[in-house]
Amino acid sequence: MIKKLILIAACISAAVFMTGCWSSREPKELAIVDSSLYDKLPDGSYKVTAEIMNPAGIGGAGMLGSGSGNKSPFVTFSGTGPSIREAIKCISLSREMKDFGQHNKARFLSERFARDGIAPFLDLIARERFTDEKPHLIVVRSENPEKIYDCMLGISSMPGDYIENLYKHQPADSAHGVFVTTLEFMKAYLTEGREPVAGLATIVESADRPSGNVGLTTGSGAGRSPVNYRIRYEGLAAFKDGRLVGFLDCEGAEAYNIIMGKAKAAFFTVPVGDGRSTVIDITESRCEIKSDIAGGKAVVKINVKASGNVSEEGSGIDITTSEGLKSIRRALEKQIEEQLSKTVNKVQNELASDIFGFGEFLHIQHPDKWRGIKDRWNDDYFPFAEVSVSVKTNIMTTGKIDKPISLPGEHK
Amino acid sequence: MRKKPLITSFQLVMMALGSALVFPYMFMPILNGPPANQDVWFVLILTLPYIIVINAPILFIMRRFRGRSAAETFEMIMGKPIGKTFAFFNVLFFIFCSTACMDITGLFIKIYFMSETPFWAIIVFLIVPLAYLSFKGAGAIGRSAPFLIMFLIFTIFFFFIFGIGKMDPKDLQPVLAESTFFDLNLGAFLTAARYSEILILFVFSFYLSKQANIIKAFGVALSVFAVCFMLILLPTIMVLGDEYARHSFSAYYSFAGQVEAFGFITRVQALFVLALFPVAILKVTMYNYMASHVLAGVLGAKSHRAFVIPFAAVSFAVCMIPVMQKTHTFLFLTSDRFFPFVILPVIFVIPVIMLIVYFFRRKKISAALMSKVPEGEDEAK
Amino acid sequence: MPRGIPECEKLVRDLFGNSSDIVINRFETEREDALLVYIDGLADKGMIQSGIISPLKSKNFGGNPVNSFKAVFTVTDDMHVFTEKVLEGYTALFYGNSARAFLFEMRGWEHRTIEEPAGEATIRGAKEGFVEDLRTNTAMIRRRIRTPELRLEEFSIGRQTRTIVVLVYIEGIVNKEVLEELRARIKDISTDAVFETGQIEQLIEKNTFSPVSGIGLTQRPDTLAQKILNGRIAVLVDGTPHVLTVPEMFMDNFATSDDYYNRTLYVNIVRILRGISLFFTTIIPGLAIAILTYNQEMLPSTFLTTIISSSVRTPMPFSFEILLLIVIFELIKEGTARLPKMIGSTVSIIGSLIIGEAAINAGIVSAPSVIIVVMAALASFTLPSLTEFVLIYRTLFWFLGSVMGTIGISAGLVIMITQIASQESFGRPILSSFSKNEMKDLILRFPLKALKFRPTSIARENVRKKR
Repeated sequence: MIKKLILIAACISAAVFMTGCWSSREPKELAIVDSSLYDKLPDGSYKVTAEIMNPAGIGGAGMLGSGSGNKSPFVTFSGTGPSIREAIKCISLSREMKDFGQHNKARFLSERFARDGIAPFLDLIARERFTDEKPHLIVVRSENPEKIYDCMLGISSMPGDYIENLYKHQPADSAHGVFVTTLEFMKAYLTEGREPVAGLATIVESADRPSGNVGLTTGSGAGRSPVNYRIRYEGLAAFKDGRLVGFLDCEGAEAYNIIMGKAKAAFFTVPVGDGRSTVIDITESRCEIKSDIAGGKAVVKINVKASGNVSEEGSGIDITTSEGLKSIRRALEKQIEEQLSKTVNKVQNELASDIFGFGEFLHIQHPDKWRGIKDRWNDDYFPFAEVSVSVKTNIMTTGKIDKPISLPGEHK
Repeated sequence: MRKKPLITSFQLVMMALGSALVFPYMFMPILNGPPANQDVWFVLILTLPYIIVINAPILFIMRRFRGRSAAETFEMIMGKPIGKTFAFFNVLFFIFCSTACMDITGLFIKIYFMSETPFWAIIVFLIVPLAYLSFKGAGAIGRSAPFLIMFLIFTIFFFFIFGIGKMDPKDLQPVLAESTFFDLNLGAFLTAARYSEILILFVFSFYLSKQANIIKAFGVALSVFAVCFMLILLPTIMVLGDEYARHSFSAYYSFAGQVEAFGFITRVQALFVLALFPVAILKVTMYNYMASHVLAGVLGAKSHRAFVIPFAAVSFAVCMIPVMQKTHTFLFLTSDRFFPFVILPVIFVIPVIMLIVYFFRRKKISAALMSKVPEGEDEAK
Repeated sequence: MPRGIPECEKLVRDLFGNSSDIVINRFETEREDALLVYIDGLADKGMIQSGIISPLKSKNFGGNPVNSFKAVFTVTDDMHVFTEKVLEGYTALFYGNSARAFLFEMRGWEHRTIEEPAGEATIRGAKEGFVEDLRTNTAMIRRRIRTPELRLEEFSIGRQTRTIVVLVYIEGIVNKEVLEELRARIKDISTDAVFETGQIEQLIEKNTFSPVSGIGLTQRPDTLAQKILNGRIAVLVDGTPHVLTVPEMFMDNFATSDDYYNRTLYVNIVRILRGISLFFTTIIPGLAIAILTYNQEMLPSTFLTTIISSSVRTPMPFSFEILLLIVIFELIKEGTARLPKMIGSTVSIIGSLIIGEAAINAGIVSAPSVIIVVMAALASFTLPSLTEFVLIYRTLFWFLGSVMGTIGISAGLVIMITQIASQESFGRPILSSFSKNEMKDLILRFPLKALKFRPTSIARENVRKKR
């Protein structure tokens, strides 16, 4: 009897469930968002542009005889609305497939939007189910941020992939750019004593040649402009209280990377008199920050220990001798110190935002002192802090050759 | 049932461990309790002595009354009427635990995974395996537990190892400088009061063989649980930062989304669900079985099977009440104002009362212990 | 029994109804007449000639057949026994007026020679397999286990077939409770005909609807000898080379006899492979559907775009593609098993190539589905004894995965593990082989020198003996 009941219940539930499959999404009905752009229009409404992958344009391996030549790998949709969520909803008025935001790789913020304050935006991302915290946050510095979807993308097919590849490969060659995921941004935003930064992308004109695929129909319907645009990814955007307050150029970003210990390939051209210079490649930097309060003022000591290799030696100094190396090292250390101090001063005076986290270090090292002043740190203490930088470098290798080419050898 | 099924102590340890790990895995109430800052890992370490202290009375009773079922133990100490009342109270508690865990798991799935699926469909997928497993009895539960829980522990290690790259030790600092001693202890006490797994040991020890050492099983379970909990807690705080972790509904889930392996395995939330859901099913099943078993002992029924489906139906009906599907209810249920105060009486107050009574009636009870021969089989390990 | 040759002859003819293969030979001796009855094809005529006819027909016959027979015999005056024995192949002789029959066991008939078993080939190990003749089979076992404690118990099952069923076990190692239970269940069998151990298996098992069987099967004498030495009981049925072993633990499905003949490292790798392939073959189709329709974020985006672009043209949802392919694959498998060898291989090639290529080209299925189903099917070939289990659970996981995604798969996992965990084989749970001693030979096999104990899940006595 029990078995019969169970059997009947099983059949009924099977029938019910077959009509269900409520949450299932077939892969072919997905509109995979690869990157998104958030903008605030002058009239106060928000505009969100989503860049969606176009599988027919990518030409997957299983497609035989597909005409992949003429289709663009991505299409864009945009929507406007009084809030970001409504703007996103507005996109679905034109987009015919199901939205799938979990493969989002980059979130572009326009300057206007960032200056206005992105706290509600962060809340939306943290709260909504279809978003997550992995994409990179990038501020686009340009009057028309949507041009970013017209830029040439090198060998990648889509802007989101392009940013992802930049993130994977740029730090190995240059420390001028800063890559911040949404999670890191939120963590810095929520941490007392630290302010978040975001990556910075500028759209520049370029005379480089495009790859064959660009110049095709895009979703925005705009015609092909005769000038080619490229994305330059360097510098960083500094925030304070969730608002964009300013930018640092490539040298500033390099200094930031060194202080944060993330620089893997920072190049320093050390001039050694009459126009010649040596280039040192700093591959590793470790930074010790000591924050303290003394006499009503914040005192910060930054000790940098960096190690690197000689990359280009054009000044004829014999780097195989220890005196040669020492002179280069001294010049290098001085140069790094200057660059770091300049950047810290600029951040203190112009941006007034503690992006390095000196307050956090004070919190860690002297929690009792921090407790008293934590509300006033950003305004009263940080901009007037006394920051001293000391750099010690260690030049490890000199590359594949030892004596510089310009130096005559013994046999000459 | 012809023979009494047997569980090895390894299986019992696994069962208690799995049941205890469900809540930290799913959402971490320890983050929101006092002191609510980055010193939660120390709170966790402090929790261990509190757990030992809170569970000591019941452990003592378990040791004296080896070989007897839970209902029998109650009756022998307190006398028939009061003993049956206490046992019945335990039954209600088990049903409460089963229903609460079912509700919490259903909410978790609904929020994070399947928001379009109706709640009842998710609960059905919990109830059907529950009824099936509980029906099959303690032997089946004991034998299935190791597989599912080993997989859970494997995922804990997996997430830990592949999350190391993203950990930032600064999130743990300043160490112990901002929490008061009282806060730390209060947090530890409240956390320790949340774990009712000792009752699993209590009810299922009936099925253990003669040679198994209950105290050793408890010790092993506690230490492995501490290690696993630490492996869950530390990466979460170090990767997400304690502020963001506290904002999240399920901090470990957000952490699991950050884990990256070999550059192409990303966003492995599916692994998270695949590990968690079976163990959650196991937990609700265990509590359901314990309720049926103890009630069968109280009423003198031959087998627990008659009660499995009614209890499952009751749990289902309670979960369907609209107020149970609100996040607000859920937050209240799991907060420090509710759970510890429900659990503490059952795992501490009642056993203490029973201990006191036991010491007064020691002679009579010892005689009763000797006279009755507990049934069971001899087990060659 | 009647007296006198003519009456006996009439009786025998009536009994067997003049069947053409019953030889009823009346011949004369020096003294009285004799009647020889045997079934042509079952009796060894040479032995009859030399053991019975020659001595009786010789000039020196003294009149007392008992002294003259050059063979061992028994005597009976019961018609039932006479009938039974003649049907078993015995030769019966009536002499003179005595109301008794002499029965000679001079049997011999054609049977298949010992060759490699078709379904259970191994790399190492003997190439012998059981044949249909019971006595040959038992002899093969005896040759491998030369201890007097090896016992054979005979039963005769089936009203019309009276098939001989033999239980083989080693006294002193076997689990007495299981033996009692087995005897009771066999005695309970009441049926007309028994031809195969499969019928016996279904008639004595308690879990008819479970995908996991609690009774093992083998065709190789060396495997069987190993199992008997572990404390199991073998059930042989006359007329089939398949032998049952009782009780059977779940983990035995992952072990072949090869595992003890090869060296440790290789064996462990292969065993791990088999363990993985069980999950592979049951869960992968369902899990793939669950991930592709509910959890797409887990896939790398390049992979996802490839899948999308290759599935854009197909009409069916992904889950139905996989179902279709599973069905097609089962059809190919079933068909190849029934067809004669020559056609069979052609069909399989045609089936796989054409269906695979053409279906993808026509846009009916997409390439990823084909790959998933083929992987699952390949994995199932390493576990021949679990085919029904795999089939049922693969379907279950397919259903659950398409309906509820990873939640469904998790629930299905619990149900599958519960089902295995609650299964009992003659009173012993089939998952009970996880005690400390047995762990050494469970998933990984420790070196042979370390395997000192018999599995306690099966044997109870003599467990601690060194192997």
